[in-house]
Amino acid sequence: MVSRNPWTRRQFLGGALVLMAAPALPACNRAAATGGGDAQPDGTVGLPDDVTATAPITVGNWTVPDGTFLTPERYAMLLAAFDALIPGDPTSPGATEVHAAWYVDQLLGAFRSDPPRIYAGGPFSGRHGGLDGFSSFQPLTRVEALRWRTYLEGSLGKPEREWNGPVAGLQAQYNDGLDALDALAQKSAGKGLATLDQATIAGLLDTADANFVTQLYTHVVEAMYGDPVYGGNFEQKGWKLIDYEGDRQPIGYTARQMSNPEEG
Amino acid sequence: MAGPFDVIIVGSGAGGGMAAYVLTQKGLKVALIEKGRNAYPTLGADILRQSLFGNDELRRRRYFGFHDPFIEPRTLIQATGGDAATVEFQGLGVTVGGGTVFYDGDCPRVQQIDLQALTNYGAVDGASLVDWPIAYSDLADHYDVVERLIGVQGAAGADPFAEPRGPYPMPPGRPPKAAAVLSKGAKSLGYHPHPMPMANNSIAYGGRPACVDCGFCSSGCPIDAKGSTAVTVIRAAQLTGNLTLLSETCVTQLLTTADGGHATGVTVIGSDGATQTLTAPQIILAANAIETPRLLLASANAAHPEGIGNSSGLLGRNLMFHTVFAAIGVFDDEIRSYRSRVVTHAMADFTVSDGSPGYLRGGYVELGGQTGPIDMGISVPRQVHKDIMVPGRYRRKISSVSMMGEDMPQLTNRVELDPKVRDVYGRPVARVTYVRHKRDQALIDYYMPKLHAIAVAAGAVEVLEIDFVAQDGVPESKHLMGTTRMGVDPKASVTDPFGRLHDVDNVWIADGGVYPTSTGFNPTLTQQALAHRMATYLADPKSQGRVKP
Repeated sequence: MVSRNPWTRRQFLGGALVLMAAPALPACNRAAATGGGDAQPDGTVGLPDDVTATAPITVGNWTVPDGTFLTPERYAMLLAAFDALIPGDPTSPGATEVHAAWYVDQLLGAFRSDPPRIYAGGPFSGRHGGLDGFSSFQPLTRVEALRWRTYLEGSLGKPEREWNGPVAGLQAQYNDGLDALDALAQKSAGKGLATLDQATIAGLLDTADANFVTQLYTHVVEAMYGDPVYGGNFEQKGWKLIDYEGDRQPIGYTARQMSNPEEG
Repeated sequence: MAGPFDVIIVGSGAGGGMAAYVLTQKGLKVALIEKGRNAYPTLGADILRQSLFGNDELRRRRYFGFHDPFIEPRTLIQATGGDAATVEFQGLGVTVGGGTVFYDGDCPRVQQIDLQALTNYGAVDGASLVDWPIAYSDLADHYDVVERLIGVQGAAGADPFAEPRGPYPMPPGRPPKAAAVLSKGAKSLGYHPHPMPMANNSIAYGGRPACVDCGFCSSGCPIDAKGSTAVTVIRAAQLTGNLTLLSETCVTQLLTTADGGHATGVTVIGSDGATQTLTAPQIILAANAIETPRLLLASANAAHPEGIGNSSGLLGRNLMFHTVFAAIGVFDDEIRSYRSRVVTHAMADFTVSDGSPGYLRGGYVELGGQTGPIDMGISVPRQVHKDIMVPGRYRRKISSVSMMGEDMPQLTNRVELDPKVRDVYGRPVARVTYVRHKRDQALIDYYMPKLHAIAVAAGAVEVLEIDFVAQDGVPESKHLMGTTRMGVDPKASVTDPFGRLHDVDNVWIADGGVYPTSTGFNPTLTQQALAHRMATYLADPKSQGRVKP
């Protein structure tokens, strides 16, 4: 229904200028950016260490725990699609290294936890002093719960969820979108999505359903630079990649850090 | 819920929060109704502990405490005769404190000339310009009080174009590099950059700590260093014992007597989903300049068939947003403008004529701005994501020069009810028509080169010119004004000069809707001053019925 983000006018500055600047950039090194073929992650890549895998299932090159919201097959597809969107290598982490698929899985299955993993707690992460409040997710209000259940699960024919008619939930969008991508892979490359190399998948994404690709890209970016408590940005690798400090409370910045940023 | 109430206030943002403070201090029993949640668990306790906000871009992207277009869509018409499209635009905070929880804290005052737009500009074709029914002198004392209540930092005398004033409650905060660089550039061109007056603590003030410049103003301040109405005046109102704060409560109808001359109460959907009616002798609407007319239109009844307070036909019309545009400088050096509260410096030189032929009066210019990495990353074409994000040229080495241009009031720019789209409460959503006036475009054409020159003078090696409407077609200022215009003549305005509806003797407007014209300055402080003035008047029995001028 809505694609715009809620940030203030001033925070549109960055995005706006990039949109304008991008066409003027020199041709980017696409081959380098997409890596050199099949990266072979180890058996637990894409999962945080603290996930309890009661019955690990190995799919392709990846092991996923029992208990992911997505089926193991679709989880593997998502890992592959994200890896093609923001590829990583040993010196430059990408979607796989930040656990982007896990981030999405946490969102899709948010209501499997109580409180649901939608809004982290306040006011601090604990990384810079103070107590870790972020890890205690906040209980939702009545309307927030209705909103997020409808957004994730869809309206499912429930009248209270159809204030503007039926809604296809994000869960169904992912299931259907990944299946469609997989079918496209089978059709054009003769192999399943999860077994294709990055370059081939990147090519597929150019011809796939644009809305789903935009959704994937939005989520992989959120996973790269969002707070680690939501499941992505594992070990703050996304922030470190772009030389960004992330959350700063309660210490903030010193006057010197503000006035002399070139010093680091 | 406790009752009876003397006053019901709808909306707890800038105007509603300030009105609640004034009235409860006078001993009146007030119900402050807020659609969103209360993110301050200890707001009414003896000791204020930190909020549920955090330095967290994702919480913000998931609309925590914010207008959520999934549950409350808006539709927009952008061309004469065009179709309405459901898009996200002009969302403000939906939480206790409203927009003041998320705003930058920019708190400039207007100039006297801002209140005389018709006199100043003369008749402009297609624009419904008027002079304000009040003067700067009507606001000055209220500005003083409001600045002390919310805690505003600034440097008196630093802006040579400002109206005369006394000292600010606290000195300016620490300057980031962006301020130094841009101010130096502006000064080299003869301009007068100065610390932005802002409701952020530069020192411990009001029982709240000094700002540590974490750079996440737009996510809500985790340590309450920002002077939102929540942690200042609403908290103070709660401590009087006279305030009943009803969060997670949505007002669906304003009710009147059969003859329509008097409001009797409001219908609400409470936090438990149950519908009930609240009554009070006086009712203040402060839901913002889109949501307040939406409520009045949706409350149409036999006595007010076109919406309550709409005998003039002007309810919802003259919607204004400001014409916002920017020159963004890209520098060779590290700037890291996110290491700071959002905008720390400003200049008002363009609000006063330089004597040039063809001069157009411009607005306040902000020096600085910032972006979050998720927001930026999504805007980067995916094929070049790392090529843009990793080097940081367009992220760490930029700062902006932006103008809050006064947009022309137009009868055709308006808020109506969408005939089809509903919100989660079952209410018709706001359908907004906003088409830029040709004078607004002329303002951009006239001033963009000047903003560009400031960035160059500051040392920018590349400058990107951004017109926020043209960028993607959606106005995005967060400054909502004009839909319940105040004035003396009931045929030419919706409210009287104190904000009371001409048509209903006990309904008052305390949001940006009362602005007759948009002025060249950020509106939040002035909204609070107007609300303070209105509530002071309302609470004084001797002044009932006396309406200036």
